Amino acid sequence: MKIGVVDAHTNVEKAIKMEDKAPDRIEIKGLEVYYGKSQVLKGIDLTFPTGKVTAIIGPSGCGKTTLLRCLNRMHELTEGCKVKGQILLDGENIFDMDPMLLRRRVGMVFQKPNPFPKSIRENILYGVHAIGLKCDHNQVVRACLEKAALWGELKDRIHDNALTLSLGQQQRLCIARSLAVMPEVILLDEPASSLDPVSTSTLEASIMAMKGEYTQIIVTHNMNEAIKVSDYVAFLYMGKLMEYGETQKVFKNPERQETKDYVSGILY
Amino acid sequence: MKMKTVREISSNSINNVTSTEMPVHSRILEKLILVFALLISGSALLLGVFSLSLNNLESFPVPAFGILAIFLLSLFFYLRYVKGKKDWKLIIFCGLSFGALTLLRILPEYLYGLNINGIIHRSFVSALLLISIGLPSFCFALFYFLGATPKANDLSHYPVIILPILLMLVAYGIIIVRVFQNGAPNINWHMLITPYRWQDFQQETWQNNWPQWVAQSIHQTGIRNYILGTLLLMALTSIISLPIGISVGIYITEYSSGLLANIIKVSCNVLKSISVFILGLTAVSLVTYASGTFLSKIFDGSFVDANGNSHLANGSFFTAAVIISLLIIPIIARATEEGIRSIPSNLKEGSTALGATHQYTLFHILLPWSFPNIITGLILGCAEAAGSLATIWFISGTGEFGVSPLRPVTSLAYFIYLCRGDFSLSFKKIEGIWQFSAALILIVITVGLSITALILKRKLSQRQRGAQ
Repeated sequence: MKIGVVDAHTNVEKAIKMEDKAPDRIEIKGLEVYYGKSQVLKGIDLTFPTGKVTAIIGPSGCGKTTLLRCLNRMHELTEGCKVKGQILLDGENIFDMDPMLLRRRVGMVFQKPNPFPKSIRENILYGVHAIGLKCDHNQVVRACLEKAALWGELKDRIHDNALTLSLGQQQRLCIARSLAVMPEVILLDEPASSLDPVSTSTLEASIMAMKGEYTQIIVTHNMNEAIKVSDYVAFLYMGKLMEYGETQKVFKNPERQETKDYVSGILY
Repeated sequence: MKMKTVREISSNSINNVTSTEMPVHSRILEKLILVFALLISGSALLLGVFSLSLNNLESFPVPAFGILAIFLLSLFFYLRYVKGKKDWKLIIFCGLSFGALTLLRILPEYLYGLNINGIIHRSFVSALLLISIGLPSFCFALFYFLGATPKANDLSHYPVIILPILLMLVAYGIIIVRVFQNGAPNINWHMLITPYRWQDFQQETWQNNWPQWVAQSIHQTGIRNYILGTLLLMALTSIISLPIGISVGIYITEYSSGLLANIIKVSCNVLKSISVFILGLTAVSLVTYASGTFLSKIFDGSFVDANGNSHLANGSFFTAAVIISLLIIPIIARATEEGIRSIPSNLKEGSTALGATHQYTLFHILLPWSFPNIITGLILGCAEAAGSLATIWFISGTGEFGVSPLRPVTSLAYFIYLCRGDFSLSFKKIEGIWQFSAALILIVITVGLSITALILKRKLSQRQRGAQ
């Protein structure tokens, strides 16, 4: 599925056909994460298919955010975090790569919107300037805002300070900002948790619109969101991967009892 | 004995217990008593304050204490028997008043001995006692006047806070009024424009191939060079200390646990606590060491006299700026460090998640964020440079030969010192009338800088930090 705008980053149309790429964009093999002495993730083996949305669900404290942060090596910003195992992005081990180069290919959107205290246009072009990407700035701004469903609202205001937007708009601005560096994978850490229902539905629409072009991994507490948006679901419990499969299957016929309890709403 | 309900006990107020049952004239009487209590304790307080300065109030403190004691006692009994509220603090203060009264009767007029190396007059003691007993009594009276509610409890503590602030404002007011009175009439446009030059010299002229010397003199009075000197000192100090200070601040935050960073932090604290006179001696030694070498033009300062001969002075603006920036670099470094540390961590994470290097984040997110702090630190440093006298004491001159980075250093602060006449009596006779005007101009410059800093900081903060 392609968006109907010529990708303005390069002059060549970005014709990504799904058959040309490997079926699994990211593979996790035997991941173990320790914070100091306590082990947070115990031997995770997981794959994320290209171009699809995978949801990671589970009760609080089961290691979802830790897992997500390992995928673009943001766990290195916390002290005392040790990692064993392999994570392969298109076959390359991410722990052998330069972390900056990795983070340009794997973008992240945080739980609480964190736009920079600059204008909207400068927010979007921040990544472009940071990595020295040569492109037409105006077209990049327009393309990213359109993908995040913000162009209509903000096309007259791109020089305003980004902090004057509402929280929902700020979160979509953060998504647009992470799209500007042309990532292959986008990680979303509970993106709708601080938003009201209307903004949440607009956000979900943007996520659905980006399917096919970007691989998205979303961590969420909200069952409805997981059902609506994702193609695959991974259920994590106490640092272990309990179940993984297509959304409809996991939510309708879960294999394990813990999954059944969780998705039917029994609180852990 | 009437048992009190929970409601009556829990509210300590004297209003809602009995006021609805009391007839009107009792309520008016009660208000009158409370107002009277307020007036008496207030006047005791004021008497204490004025005794510190006026001399004719010798006979008032003793009766004031007597009246205060009696009134506190009667207030206690009124509260106890009419309102049913026992407040032992009133009794304590009544006893203290009686004690103060007897003490004042016993003391002789002048106190000495007791390891006091000086003579204290009794009025000082009586003023202190009046303030220390009158202030709490005033607070109590205010408390009961406002109805003895918890809110009245909070409000009745305000006099304790307000009194020192008022005294401080009065002190500042006296200084500023005095400076203004003595300095403002003497300011005129001519004096601001003209530099001070008082030179009698022999001018070389040539007649018939033989040199002749003609006696000439230039006599000008004014303070232009001192004002320009202060401004130049501020500018040079800022230029030198700003890059170094910001770099030091960034280094301290980045490598806060390293050995070098700890050494830098310790030396910042040491520099701030070192006496500025020692820095002035450092300046002198800098000038001395530079004297014979090629650096003498830069550090010693040179001037060109009327005949075109250049001489070496004993200190240039550049030297002074270097030494004063030793004081200001810690201020700017600390301000930068505070600014960088105050940034919310999610902004740094957001920048890292986009693939920006640490250096890019530093220059594009962290430093713009700490801009208000840096500006404040810079303006503080400028104000410090403008008012610094001890650092440039030994290397300053009278600024007769112009103001530029390689000329002898001078400033308004040094000018005020010169007007005292310790340096030269003739200077005092010529320029002494502008002593207070120079002080006024210095105050205006410093206050103007501070206000600009406040406004700038607030504007930048709002624009940058927005809702955070």
